[in-house]
Order: sequence, then structure tokens, then C-alpha cells
Amino acid sequence: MINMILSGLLLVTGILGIVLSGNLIKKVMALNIINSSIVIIFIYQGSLTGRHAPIITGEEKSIVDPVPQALMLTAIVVGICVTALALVLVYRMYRLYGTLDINEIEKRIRDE
Amino acid sequence: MSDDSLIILFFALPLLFSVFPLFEKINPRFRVSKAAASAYFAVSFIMLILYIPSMFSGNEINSVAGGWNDLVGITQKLDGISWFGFFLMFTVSFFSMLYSFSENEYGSTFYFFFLVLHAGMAGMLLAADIFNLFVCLEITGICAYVLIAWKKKEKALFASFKYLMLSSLGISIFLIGTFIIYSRTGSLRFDVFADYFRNEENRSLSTVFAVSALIAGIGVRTAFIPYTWLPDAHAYAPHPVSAVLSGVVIKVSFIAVCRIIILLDLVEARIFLLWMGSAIALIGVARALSQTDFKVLLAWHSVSQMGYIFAGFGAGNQYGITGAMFHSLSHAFFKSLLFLSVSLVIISTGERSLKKVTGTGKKFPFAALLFTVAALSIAGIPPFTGYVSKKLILYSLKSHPAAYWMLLASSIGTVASFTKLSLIFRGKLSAGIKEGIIPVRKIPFISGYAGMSALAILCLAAGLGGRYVAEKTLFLVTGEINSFSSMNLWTDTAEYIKAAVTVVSGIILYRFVMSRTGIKIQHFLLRIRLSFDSQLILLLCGFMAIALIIQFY
Repeated sequence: MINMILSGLLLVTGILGIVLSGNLIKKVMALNIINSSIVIIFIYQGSLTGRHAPIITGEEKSIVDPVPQALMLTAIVVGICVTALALVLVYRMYRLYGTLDINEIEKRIRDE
Repeated sequence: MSDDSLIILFFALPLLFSVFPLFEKINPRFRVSKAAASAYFAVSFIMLILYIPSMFSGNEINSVAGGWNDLVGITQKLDGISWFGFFLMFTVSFFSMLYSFSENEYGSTFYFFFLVLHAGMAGMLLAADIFNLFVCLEITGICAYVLIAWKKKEKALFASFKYLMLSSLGISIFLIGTFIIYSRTGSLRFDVFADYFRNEENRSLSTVFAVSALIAGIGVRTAFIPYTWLPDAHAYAPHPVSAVLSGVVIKVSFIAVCRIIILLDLVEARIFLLWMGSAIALIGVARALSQTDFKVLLAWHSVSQMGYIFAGFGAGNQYGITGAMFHSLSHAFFKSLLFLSVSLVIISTGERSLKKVTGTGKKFPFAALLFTVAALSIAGIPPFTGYVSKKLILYSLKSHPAAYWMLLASSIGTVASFTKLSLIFRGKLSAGIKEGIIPVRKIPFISGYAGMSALAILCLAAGLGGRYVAEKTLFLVTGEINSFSSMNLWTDTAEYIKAAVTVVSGIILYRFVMSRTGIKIQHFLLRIRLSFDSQLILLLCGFMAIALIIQFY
């Protein structure tokens, strides 16, 4: 239970970060935190199904469900791609605007 | 129901062909990217035709990738609704791509991302399990972000960033939903979950939460909440990409949402879509009226027309579902044509505001003609395609008079805003062009014109054959048969009078908007803008709203 609460807290931290932080890079990192917290929740729940690695040897063992791990591996890869692309966009915007503050950038776009 | 492992080609072909542009990237003398992209569409059209007989006899084709059994393997499903999606995707994307050939500003990597985008969308249409849908959503998304920011202009970069953040947050919500569903059912397949969810006992708070997470997660891509990423992203993307985004990408996401709602029998979510849709239709049109930038105006119309589609789908009866799907198709045709024909003026003059460019009809007679066809379609004037699909949607809303009047009001707004946008071509030539401050370049645009003409012909054909298209659409989407003979499409004089009244009131509204008070209201409307942070909060609120409605309605 405590594990769920902790990863839930991580999720809330991420959501608060993405909404409240004004810095573009911090926003991207907050998105990453949200992603990680979901991965942790998923893997943790999956690990409760058994005690051994999912390698079938013929003996009866309580193996861990391999599907969540496979899924989360994919989710992590996708998350990395999105983060990398987001950082590239942030870098490009920084070169054009000279600032990372979202309010500043929005203000400049509005004034144009 | 039958097995056919060939359907995976819909997903594999674009990936296969996307290798060729990379060759060109390595060795620029090896000019194959355009040929590869065209070849992809040629092969896809053949695939599409090959599946006509089985789709129109109501078959469903299942296939498990790699020959695994369906417990372990990734299942793909081609049914009527995905065939419909493929048809929409291939036609509109192909003609938009012809336009990008003429524009000739894009290198080989552009076509690489363009093809991978289609792989993602094809995967979304074929996905029969939730996780596959997640991966394909992300493939589509990443390619879309790159394509929007292609020209590295300021506004496009920010629009792409907004789109990325909002839809990634949506996707995270989607993953939470996936987690709950997997921990409840031990399976990721839609049909397994549908059986589980339809059992009343299993409708707990957490499953409802999961379902609304799925709908909200994909719903971000269809911009079911106005004031989000859509107008900026569609307006500042490169021109052919705008056409594909507005025409295809949002429709494919919409089809994915529809699938879930149809499969799970979610009456409550439909109510949400009905009211949200009517509201969006009005808000979108009001915002569009106050814009002067060509493409921003069109992008707000995408919001408004999506509202129509949601409202029709939300009404839930045969007319509504047919109308929603048919309108997706007609919107794909006429909105991409609008984006492309207006972009032609932007390319030749380098300006994109009604304040600077008006009355260029004599310089671009053919573009003006194509624009007129598309504008008449979106305004719902017979015999073009928008007339039939809008009529179906309005017909489905007979039992919801409030929504009916909201949609009718927004069609008047549509007429007004297109009267405004048509100033690009009609009226007096703007001073800037006359005095030569804004140069008008003549550019050869043969394949672009060919693509646009084809779209215009499709607008006309889908309108004239409206009853046939509606009948087939209904059959493909739900498997039901209705020939819509109770609707008088062409012989009902009341309908013509209604269309005429809409046009006249639209023009009166346009006069009002251009008057002094109207301009004051426009300025007031333009000042209402949501910051990016509040858009993120709005997304979370939308998600909560869906959950609450499904739980308590």
C-alpha cells in the first residue's frame, strides 16, 4: 500500500510540476516524472503476481507476469523519444526567443 | 470473421517505403523519396480495392502478427470502420502530398516522417488491443510534432511544443487507464474488456475511471476541448501538413474514440459528446469570425466542424452515426481543399492576413474556383457534400432541440466567416499588391492543382451521390442497412429554402461583424486567450468531467 501511495505522490508531483512550473525544461521533466510514476506503478503491480523470473523451465513455479514489464519497456522507449523531441523544440525556442519562461514566450507571440 | 495475415501490410508498407527517403538522405543523388511516397499510395489503393468485396459483405478480418496465438500475439483487426478510415486517409493524404510535390520545399526527411505518420495512423485503425493503440498513437504524435515544426518558425515551434505537452499528458492518462484495465481483466484486448465492462457488476469507480481515461487520452488528439492546441498547430504547420492534420489525423483519432464508445456501449459518454460538440461548434465559429489570418480562421473552423461530428455521434441514432462519419469524410475533403487553395495565395504573396491580401481572384482564377467549391461545401449548400452530411446530423438531433438550434446557429456563422474569408479572392485588389509592395510570384503548380481538382471533384461527387455514400457508410460502421429513403435530399423545397435562409442570415451576420460594433466584439473575443498552463488544467478537468458523467449520469 505504501508503495502505491508513494508512486501516487510522484504522479501528483509531476502533474503539479507540469501545471505550475513556468520553465519549459522543468515542464518537460515534469512530464517525464509523470511517465516514470506510471511505469513504477505498473511494474510494481505486475511484480506482485509471482516470485520468479518468467522463464519456463518445466517446473511449476510462481512466475511474475511478463506482460507489464514488456509493456513498460515500450512505454519507457516512447517516453524517451517524446522527451528528446520536446527538448529539441525547447532548445530551438530558446535560440529564437532567448528565454525559457513560458509566460514571456506567450506574451511575445500575443504581441506580434 | 476470417483470418488474413496480409492486413498487417497496411501498417508495414509505409514503414517499408520510408526507408527510401533515408537512402536519399545519405546520398542526395539518389532521388527516390517522392517516387517512394507515390508508390506507397499506389500500393495502398490497390490493397484498399482488394478488400472492397469482403468489407461490403460485412466481413471482419483478424490477424495476429507473427503467427502467435491470439493470447500472446498482437492482434490486428480490419473491419468496416477501419476500411472507411483507410479510404479517407489515402485519398486526402495522397492529394495533399501531390501539393507538397509542387511546393517543392521539403527534403527527403519530410517524406520519411510523412510515411511514418501514415504507419502510425494505419496502426491506430487496425489496433485491436489497447497497448498497440497506445504505441501507434505515439508514432502518429511524434511524426505530427516534427512535421508541424518543420520550418522552424517561432509560432510553429511553440504550437508543436503545446501539442506535444498536451497530448503527452493525455497519453499518460491513457496509460493509467491501461494499467487499471490490465489489472482488472488480465488482458489488453478491447473485446475482452468490453465483455467485462458490459457486465453491470463490474462497473466500479475504477473501471469507469479507466474508460474515461481512454476516451480523454485519445480525445486530446481530436481536440474535444476547445482552446487547446488545435488552432495553433493546424494554422502554423506547413501547408500540406495542415491539410493532412485537419483532414486525416484528427479523423483517425476520432474513429478510435468511436470504436471504444461503440464497443463499450457508452450512452453516457455520448451525452457528453453531444453537448460538448454543440458548444464547440458555436465557440469555434465565433472565434473563426474574429480572425484575419487565413489559416487560423480555417483552423478554428476545424474545431467547429469537429463539434458537428461529435454532436451527430453523440445523438447516437442511425442518422447521427452516419452523419458523423459522413461529415468526417466530407470535412476531410473540403477542409484540406480549403487549406491548400488558400495556401497557394500565401505561397505566392508571402502574406497570410486578410488585412494585407484581398481581391486576388483575377490573379488566381483556378484557385478561386476550387476555394468556392470547398467554401460552398463547408457552408452546406446543395449539391456539395457538406449539405448531405450536415443534413443527416441535423436530422439526428430532432429530439434535442437545443443542440439542433446551436448547430443551426453555427452554420449561419460558417456562412458569415466564409463570406469574410472569400475576400481573399473577391472584392478590390488590396493596396499592397496594387502598388507592388507585396510581390505576386507566379509559380508552376501542376501537380498541386491536380490534387486540388481531385478533391473538388470528390466534394461534388460525395454530395451528388449522397444517399449512396450515406447508405454505405452506415453499413461499414455499424453493419445496419438503411437506404435513408425517408430523407428527401434533392426534391424537398423546404430544404432549399432553409439553405437560402441560412445563406442570407449568414451574409447579414457578416455585415454586422464588419460593422463598428461587430469589430468591437471581435476585439473583445480576440482578447480571451487561455494560457498554456490553463489549457493543461482544462485537459485534466475534461477528463474528470467525462469520468463524473459516466459514473453518475
